[in-house]
Amino acid sequence: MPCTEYEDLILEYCGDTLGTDERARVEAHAAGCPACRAFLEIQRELDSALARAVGKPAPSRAFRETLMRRIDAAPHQRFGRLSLLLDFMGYASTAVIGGAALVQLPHVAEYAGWAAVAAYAAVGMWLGIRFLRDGQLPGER
Amino acid sequence: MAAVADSEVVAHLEAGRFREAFDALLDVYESKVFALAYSVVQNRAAAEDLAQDAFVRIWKGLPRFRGESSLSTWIYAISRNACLSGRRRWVAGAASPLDLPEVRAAAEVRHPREDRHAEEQQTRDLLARLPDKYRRVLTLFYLEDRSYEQVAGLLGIPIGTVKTYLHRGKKELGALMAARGKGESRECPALNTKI
Repeated sequence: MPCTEYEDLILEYCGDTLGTDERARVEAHAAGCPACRAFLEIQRELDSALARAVGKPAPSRAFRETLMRRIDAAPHQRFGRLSLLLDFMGYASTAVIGGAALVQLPHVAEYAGWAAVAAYAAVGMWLGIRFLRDGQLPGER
Repeated sequence: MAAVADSEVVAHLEAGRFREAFDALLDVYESKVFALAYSVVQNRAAAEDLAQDAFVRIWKGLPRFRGESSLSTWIYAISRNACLSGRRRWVAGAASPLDLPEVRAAAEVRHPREDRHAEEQQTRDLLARLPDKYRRVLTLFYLEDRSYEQVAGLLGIPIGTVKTYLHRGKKELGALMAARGKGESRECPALNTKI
């Protein structure tokens, strides 16, 4: 069993992400520790076995030809004004809910449940529509 | 290089030249999206189908790209969704359960003294036994020239998570290999890991 302290360091060492000092530290430790040396050896063998096994699969020559035929038959999905309207509705709903929450602050106990449900529903619908449309959430990078 | 190509794509999009934009992005992202698809299904033909589905979605969505995120982030997000939903369809529609890599891997018994090609297949079979998240990270790591950043970008997860999955996947794979090497022993003394 490799030393707990060095197990992750050895994996980092094999991933080539360690600095010079840490690499030297791992090498020095492995030189004097049979368990860690064996673990390092297994990881090296595994690394080269994986590199060989995964290889470099590439799409076939027919890939682009088939894709272009599909592209020629596929229309764009334009949302145009609907897209802008959805965004406007989303921002407006958030603003209205926020404003309503502030106005109703003195009666918060009375309306808190319904307001929370409405807020979650409106924002959830908006985010869901944006995610389905764009494949990502607003502001996601 | 990719940044230059991305700006070229965006320039085409802003000018409404969608076909030129698509051709330009295909040159840069074809191998990346294919690698992502391959990491999900571990099968070249199925990966081609998934990558094509992803590119068709990208093509359809091109007019909606508004630069809120980087082009690569947008492409990878669409590709991930296409690949994961495509894998569900592929698993559900597999001609036989034996077509699935994990089932094939579990069913295959190989003689230890086979050629190098067989050893590679053996490693792929063991890889197919790992949980999906580890298998995807391990496959992409080697397909993307050991770049943590590229793997993180393709899968949409933090670099720290990539490292964690990579390390855990390697530990599990090492244990599986050691077990196979010791005649299917259920314990790996070198790693002190029970399988």
